[in-house]
Amino acid sequence: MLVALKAEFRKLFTVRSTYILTGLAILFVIFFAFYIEGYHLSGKDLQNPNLYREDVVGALTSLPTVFGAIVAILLMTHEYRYTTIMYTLTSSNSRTKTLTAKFIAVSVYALVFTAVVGVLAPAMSYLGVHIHGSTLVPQTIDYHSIIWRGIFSGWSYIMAALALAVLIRNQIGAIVSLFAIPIAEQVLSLLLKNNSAYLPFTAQGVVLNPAPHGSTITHGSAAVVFSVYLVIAWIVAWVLFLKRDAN
Amino acid sequence: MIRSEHLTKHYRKKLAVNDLSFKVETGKVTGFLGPNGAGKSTTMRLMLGLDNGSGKTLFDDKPLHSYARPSQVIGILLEAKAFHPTRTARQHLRILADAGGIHLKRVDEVLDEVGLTDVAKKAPGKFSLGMSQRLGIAAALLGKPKYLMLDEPANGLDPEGIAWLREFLKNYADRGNGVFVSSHLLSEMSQMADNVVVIGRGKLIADTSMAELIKNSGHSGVLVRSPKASALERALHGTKAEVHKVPGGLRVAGLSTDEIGKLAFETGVPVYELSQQQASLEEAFLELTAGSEEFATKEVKK
Repeated sequence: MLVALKAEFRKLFTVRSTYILTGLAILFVIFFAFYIEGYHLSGKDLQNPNLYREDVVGALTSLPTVFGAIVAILLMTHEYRYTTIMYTLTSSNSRTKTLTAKFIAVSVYALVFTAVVGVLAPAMSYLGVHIHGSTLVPQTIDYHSIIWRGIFSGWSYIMAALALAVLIRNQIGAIVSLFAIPIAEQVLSLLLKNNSAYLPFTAQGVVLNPAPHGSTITHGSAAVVFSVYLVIAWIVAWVLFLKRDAN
Repeated sequence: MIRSEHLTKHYRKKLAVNDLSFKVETGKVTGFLGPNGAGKSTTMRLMLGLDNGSGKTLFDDKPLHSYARPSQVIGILLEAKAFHPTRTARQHLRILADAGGIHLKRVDEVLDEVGLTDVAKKAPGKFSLGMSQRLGIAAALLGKPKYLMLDEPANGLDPEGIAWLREFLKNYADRGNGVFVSSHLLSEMSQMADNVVVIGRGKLIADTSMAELIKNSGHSGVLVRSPKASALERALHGTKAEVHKVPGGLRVAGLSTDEIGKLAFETGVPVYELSQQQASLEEAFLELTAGSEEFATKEVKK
């Protein structure tokens, strides 16, 4: 198991795409938090006591986290695209060990990524405000709430992307699905109205954002809803990974 | 010994591998032959557990997954370009070493062995097919495995590379290891393989030694050139010989040159040539696989 884990980490950190996508995510956070939400702030915006919390939410529910999710997708789909899956599977005596190693490696990456992005966003905002010489009103942050919601949101989104990659195996297909499913949910929400909060990525969004208009679902309930979808997706992905031909 | 028993694989309605059983002995190179689409690659994948089908393959009487370090039991090369194109050759092998529980110093050893030390830090995306094959062979050798399974390893190799591969695989087998190799280069295979497994349309056609395969070919026998070939043919009908008319004479199977010479002398038939003819592997292969090609070509019009 440890040898498989070592190999997965080496795979993750020996391809350019990991560095490019993670770097882009960090650059986006720096630009938006430092410049737009920090240096460029003026007047009424500086009176916002929730600015830092909004920075964390913004960073973890937008493009930067998508880049992190694509890193996870590539770790899996490169195996099929470049047929290295045959080496991966014949090096190990169990497909379960192989997938567990991938799950752990991506989980660690997701947690570190979420922590970096989540901390960097308010820090950059603070830096921007202070370099500009402005004064921000004291911030009210419920650390306990924002930490668990932030970590859950970032980690679960990236793990959902990995589950899609295990299920679909095709690089383009997995990335397109990652974008298409939330869009499909938006269309479905026209029909489901208040109940749309129980759709997977809508619920995932509610963990950090307010619930859709008219819905009373709490952040905790939304996390449970998305967890259920995630567990089901992973069970199906796991079974298929064990059963399917490796091509 | 690797023993495959009753390997069967369906792709929807198509039967790709049909109840295939054969063995790969240690100390020998076993060639794996079959026309395009015969199911060679699928068979190899079934043996390794990469594809799901029925039947079993035992490596020294144990399934591959019962070994803690499978890549130290069998080294594989199923596709030449099985690597990430921008990850360096050394990093590619380091990943495989990590996954197989192999010391990283083996990476540089195998790169040296296949002659890729100079490009170890280069991304293999722009490697030629021959260089890619060498990297694949390096990957297969990484765990110093007892068995090697190579699918078309000579594809894209230059003549020097092919000669190196031939000698390398023969030496590898001579050291008590088993080598299972498929190739379309039949002349190479005839120089390299001790045993052959021939399949067509997923079914076993032959599992025998190279010598037996060639000996039993209809193209092997004694060539007799004589101005009175018909008379000799009549005389041969009373014996166990199998006689075929060929341009300029007869090809006789089942009798030695001495026996035919004696019979010709006794029947007063002059003989201009009496020589033992050995079928080539290509002739034997084409004879065995006739009608079992998945993608048969049309005869070339002259």
